[in-house]
Amino acid sequence: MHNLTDEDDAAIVARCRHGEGAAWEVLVRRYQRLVFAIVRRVGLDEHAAADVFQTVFARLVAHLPRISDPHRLQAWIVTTAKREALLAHKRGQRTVSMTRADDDDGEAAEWDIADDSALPEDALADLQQQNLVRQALDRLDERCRELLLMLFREDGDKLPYEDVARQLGMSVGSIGATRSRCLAKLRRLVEPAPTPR
Amino acid sequence: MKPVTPLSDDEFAQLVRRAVALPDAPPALIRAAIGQWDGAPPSLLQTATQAILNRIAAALTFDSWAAGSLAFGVRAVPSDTRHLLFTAKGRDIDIRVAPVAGHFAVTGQILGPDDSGVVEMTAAASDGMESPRAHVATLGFLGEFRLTGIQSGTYVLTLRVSGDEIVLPPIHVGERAS
Repeated sequence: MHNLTDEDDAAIVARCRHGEGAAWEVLVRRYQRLVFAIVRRVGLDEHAAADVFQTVFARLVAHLPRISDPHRLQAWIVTTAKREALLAHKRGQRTVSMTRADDDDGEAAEWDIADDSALPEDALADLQQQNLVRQALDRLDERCRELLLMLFREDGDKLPYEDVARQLGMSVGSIGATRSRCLAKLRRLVEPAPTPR
Repeated sequence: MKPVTPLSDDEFAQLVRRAVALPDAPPALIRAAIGQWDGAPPSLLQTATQAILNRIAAALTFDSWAAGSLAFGVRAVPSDTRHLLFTAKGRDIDIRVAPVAGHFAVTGQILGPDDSGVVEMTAAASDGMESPRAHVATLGFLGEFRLTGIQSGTYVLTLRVSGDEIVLPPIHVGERAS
């Protein structure tokens, strides 16, 4: 059965422009972790973080008709989330200075953000890479996804192989080989297919 | 964004570990963000989209089902696959419509300067659906695309490439009339 989550950003944006609410939900679910991670990293309190999270998606709805290259959607989301999070942080410190009213939407203000050390480019690149892998995990077949989610839990929540085997109905001895196969599948989903030239 | 291609298996496993640890936003925040769609009338989205694209009408240049009779002595078996050719502003668009497992598949290729783009196929307004579901595909290598699971009916195919919106004349998808 066709699954919207398998479609790339360009196709999902096209569906949104056509008025498909289901495509918008896919877009939100695809990027919620990335936006939330960026917002959290700036150190906003719960209420400010929630405001920024909603602001980013509100701006995305408004921006959808003007996206000229949907393949660069993730870069737009990251830039917007970073800017809005830093702006909210500065507002909290009451040290915001506004320089000129013009941004890539041509509608909202661009702000002079003095300190973006909480979100260096390397950290943003890491978060994007992690989100890409997480999106691929969501598209993996259920058995592989469950296995990898169990095996790659954080140290405090780690399950012994015996528990993983019991929960998934497999033998302990087969976990290692299945893990390797599932990681290879995941890697194929993450890596772009080579283009024959 | 960093590519994953040069990562060793161990490095990739570490990346997966960090990805699994990436927390979900609270469900209430996700629901509220999804709910923002209600404030965006689809008709406005479409109108604004069309405003920034050059709208180009494609012209039909060949239809295998409408082709004239064969020359004397030439034999052919009627094909279930319909072959259509269109032309639009320096691009040739090759479309094939074929029955597949009770539905139809529409495959095609855009021959022109574009190496990326989106193809949308929607039921024509005369089919009575107010907000028809779009079949969407992105152009692949060599400008090819494939849409599957299409029910019989009349459809409009729209190609968005390089700032141009190419609209094909309505295409009837269905069995060949005997």
